[in-house]
Amino acid sequence: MIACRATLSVALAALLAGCANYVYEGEIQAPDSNGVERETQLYWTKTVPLIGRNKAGPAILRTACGTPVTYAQQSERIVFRGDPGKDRLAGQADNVAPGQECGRFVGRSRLADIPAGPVRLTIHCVPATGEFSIGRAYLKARQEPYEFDVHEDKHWSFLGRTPALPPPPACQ
Amino acid sequence: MPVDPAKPRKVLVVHGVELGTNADLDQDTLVNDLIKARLAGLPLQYEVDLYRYENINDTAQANFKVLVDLVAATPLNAILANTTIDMVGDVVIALEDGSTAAVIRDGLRQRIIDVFESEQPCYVVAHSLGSIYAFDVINALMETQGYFDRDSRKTWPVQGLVTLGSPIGLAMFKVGSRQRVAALGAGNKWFRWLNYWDRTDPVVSGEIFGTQLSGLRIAEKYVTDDPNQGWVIRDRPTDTGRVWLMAHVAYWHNPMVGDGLVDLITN
Repeated sequence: MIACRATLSVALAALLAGCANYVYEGEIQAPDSNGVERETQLYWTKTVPLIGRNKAGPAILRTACGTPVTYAQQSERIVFRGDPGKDRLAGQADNVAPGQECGRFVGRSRLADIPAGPVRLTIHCVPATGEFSIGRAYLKARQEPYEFDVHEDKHWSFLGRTPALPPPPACQ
Repeated sequence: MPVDPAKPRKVLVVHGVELGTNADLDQDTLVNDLIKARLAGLPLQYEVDLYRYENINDTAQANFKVLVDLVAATPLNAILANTTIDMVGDVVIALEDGSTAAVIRDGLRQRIIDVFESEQPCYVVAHSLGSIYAFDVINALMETQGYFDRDSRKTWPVQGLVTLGSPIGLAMFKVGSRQRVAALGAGNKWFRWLNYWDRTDPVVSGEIFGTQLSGLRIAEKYVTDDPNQGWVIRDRPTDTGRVWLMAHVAYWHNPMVGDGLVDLITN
């Protein structure tokens, strides 16, 4: 009887706390905002609990020798929102307004729903630098989207796990 | 004494609800490891310090613990009761907003001013209940004459704020001066606040069973249309990979948080 209750308790706990953890990651070689050919990594994570809704993101874009850019869920879009003092629209002298869109995932509305495979995103801002800026650079702004071939890495865990990611592209 | 952007950046960590004493806290090491893992060769010089206030809380709770030791029937009960007092007591002290909370805020304010006087750019990273103290102190500094000239970041004692698993969206904390952020006034520089939270973090939602939050805005509710506000506020709903209370302590190890820190302190 005791063994039966213990088994049931473990099964219940597994249902409540068990989950699958996913890491999505892809890289491309492309010019950065300084015109230097660099490796750029795109990644995000997703957790699928046995009970409850999926959670994912935000997605991060890391360019070698550059600073991270965040693409976050905004209602039904996944966008990189620019910050005044940090970003400006390509070809313009003024900083972006707070929250102005600097890029987005193309044809995707929810990070938690994106499977492995090709992922396209746009970027149409350039870094704005100031006296406190260090190494500010990211993927070069351009009209056509960049395409990443994103791979999926899946692990089952009992209480969840901190995502294990490949390191960001090294600055060489 | 103006801030010198060429000096090493100081990341000042403010812990949250904790068990034990000051000596048990190591969040500065965790943040240092997180930044180091995500720097990827960027030429950033930085130092990480921790503002410890657990001993102030423990002193305020000492009388209750003595009482519990006297009435608890078994040593196990006493340990459980003292642990509960340690955690719940930290929250009650913050909510009461009495003398102990004032001592904690004064201590944090002084640590920030010490960094300012060393001319190092200071970035505050605050977890859980610590985010309430950090929010209060930074806003009070913004309203203090002589600091935070909007057009000169060299007058800013704090250059940016990162909050992790903050309960600031809960009604019990959103009272008094905490219902708004202090406006920086007219100018063209912006104070950045990144708020990371996991949808299943019960401290963020106030739901003890970790019911998932469905919206996307907590800190961003502070944004107004006033051009003189001067804050860039970003909510970052984050998948820590963990669930329930484990999510609340998982931010320290999360690479997306690490990348956000790198982004903030390199600007």
